[in-house]
Amino acid sequence: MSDELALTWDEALAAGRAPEDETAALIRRCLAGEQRAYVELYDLYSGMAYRLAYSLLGDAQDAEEVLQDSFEYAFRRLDHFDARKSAFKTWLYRITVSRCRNKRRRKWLPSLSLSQFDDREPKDPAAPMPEERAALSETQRAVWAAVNSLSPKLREVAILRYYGGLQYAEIGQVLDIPAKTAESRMRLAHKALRDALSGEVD
Amino acid sequence: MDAQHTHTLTTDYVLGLLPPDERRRVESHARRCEECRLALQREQAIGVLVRGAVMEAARPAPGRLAAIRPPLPAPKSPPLPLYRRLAPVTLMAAMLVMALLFGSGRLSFSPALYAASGTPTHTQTATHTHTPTATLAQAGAAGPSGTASPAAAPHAAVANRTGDYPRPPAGEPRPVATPIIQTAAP
Repeated sequence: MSDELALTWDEALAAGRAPEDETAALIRRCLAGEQRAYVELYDLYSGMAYRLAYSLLGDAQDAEEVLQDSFEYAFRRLDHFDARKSAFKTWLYRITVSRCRNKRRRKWLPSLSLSQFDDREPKDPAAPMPEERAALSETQRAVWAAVNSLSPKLREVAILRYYGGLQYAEIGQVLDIPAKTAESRMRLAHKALRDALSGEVD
Repeated sequence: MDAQHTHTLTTDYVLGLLPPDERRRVESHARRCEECRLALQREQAIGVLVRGAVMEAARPAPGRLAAIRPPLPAPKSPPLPLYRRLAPVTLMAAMLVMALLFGSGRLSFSPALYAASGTPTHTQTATHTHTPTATLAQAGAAGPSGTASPAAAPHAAVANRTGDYPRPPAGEPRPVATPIIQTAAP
């Protein structure tokens, strides 16, 4: 069997994670008052946080606002981060997801209609495609459409798993749900994506 | 393990939900079965596609993230020495002790030991016996009838601040001066 088959998603993403030792050293320097350390910490994690926010919100401006809010809060509360409880990325993702949920609620609540009570975001088919996605290939646009068709709960788990590379216990910490619930939602999300992308993967 | 059973496990395998022994069985079977191997690859491709789409669509413009970096926290000032940090607490404790002492009467602003009314404010300790002035005053005030005048007693017993006795009423004998015994406050 080829090496590809031997790899689960966990192993494939392991190389993309920032080393925890480097992060711990940066946090120590931040707490000691070194301004430069804050900049380095931001540079190390801002890309991940931005992509997570963009994946959940689908809008670049919203994602930028969430990114700023998340890091402003993280910098202010850095002394409350406990490395024994979670990795810094998990902690930052938790803050980012919370800000995304607030942004989504504020954005859609005034236009809430009865059809929105099925826990799905209201879709506007007439809305122009964001320019970020206009440059994507046909396959990537199909993938985005499939991801956006998921409910917010399933989309959060799918993005944290496929893009964030988190374990299910970490996903549970980010979303404040049990790990088993995260696993169940991941199965549902994967099945929905498989059905939607069957033409792309065959 | 048959092909059908392996196929139902491919999702859990790709999602990392199988226990280690089950994973090994799936891998072992997939090595021998091309159909199951292709099914595994299709399942894994979904995750690859999602990740790729996120990386491409959510790519910020160069330098954009650095430009929107939030303000950094202000540098913290160095901590004060311990004695300076404790100074307010020490001062408060000293003020509290002083307030308690004044309130209990153990300390006084005035150096006088007697109040203005002439009533002793502390316990007198006599070093020798003495004739109570009230008794002598009463005897002196009794007059020819030998009856003590109750009105005279208070006058004889009370001395003012300077030690002078108040003037007796007219016609009554002057009380005999007795030494005022003053002792230091405990």
